[in-house]
Amino acid sequence: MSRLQVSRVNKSFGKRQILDEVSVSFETGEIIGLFGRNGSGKSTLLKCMLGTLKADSLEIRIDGEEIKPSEVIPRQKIGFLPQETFLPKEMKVRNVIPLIFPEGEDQDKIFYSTGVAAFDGKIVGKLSAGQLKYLELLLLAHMPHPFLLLDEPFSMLEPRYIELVKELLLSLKSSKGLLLTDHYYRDVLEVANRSYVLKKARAYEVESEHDLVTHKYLKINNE
Amino acid sequence: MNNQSAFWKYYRDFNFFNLAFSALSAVFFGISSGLLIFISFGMGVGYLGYNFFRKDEYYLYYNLGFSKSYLIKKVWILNLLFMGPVLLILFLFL
Repeated sequence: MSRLQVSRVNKSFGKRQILDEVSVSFETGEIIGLFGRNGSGKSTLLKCMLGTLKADSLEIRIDGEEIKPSEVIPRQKIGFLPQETFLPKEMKVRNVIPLIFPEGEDQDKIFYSTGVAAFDGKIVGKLSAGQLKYLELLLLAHMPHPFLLLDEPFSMLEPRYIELVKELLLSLKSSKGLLLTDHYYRDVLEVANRSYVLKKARAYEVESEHDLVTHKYLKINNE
Repeated sequence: MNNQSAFWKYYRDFNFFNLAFSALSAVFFGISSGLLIFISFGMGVGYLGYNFFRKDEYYLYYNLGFSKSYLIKKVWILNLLFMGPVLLILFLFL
């Protein structure tokens, strides 16, 4: 079991403070949900954790060992699923898989995963939103990172793929720790062990839709 | 960072923009100038072109363990290694 601790994250854009002493901690086997209105700093937090966006201050520890933000990518400790696809759009799926996994055994794990045969002859740019997100998650799932940050994995997916992605996320818990943000709050609450909402640059723990209403992420309670 | 096939994909995509600009420069200013641009100013064009058309793909390389600065430095060093000697020969003998 591995533990990721991210603490004292501060980030400002000009005079506007986006993150104020935000701390998140989780371990492999856990799924953490992160909510927040648009512009609340969810993606900013994830990018600061990955090291692609410089935070004003940030401490990252994995199993107690402090890691500089610049070391996160080279050491492959944290993987990231961005909102936009990270795969080359002009390539066929069957060529992308060997590009990422040179070993045949690793490739087979992807090729023989549920549903991949249906689109492995397609060009990445021609995949549906659901197929694309599912493929990206499968690829990330087989990479060595113990922790994954997922920026809106359910966004724009048809219900069939939302279910497939949820199944995949739950199966990933056995080997990885996941932090995911999404506005599909019911799906996130369903798979997450714990959740937080970002409000006025700070993170608050939430357990239910009612808490999301309390923190004014939701306007009305739809229960 | 052992995935060399992924790196070469980045190398080709990055240099596509660099090469297009350098080849155009070569047409107007000569081969030597084109090569010189390829290993210098063309790197900036490659960077801008990649950022404009393929920015999201950087996350593929981040996930594979390549930082942006590592990728760009390695592309530049390889361009110097490949094109530097050619440029030197052109300057010395032509």
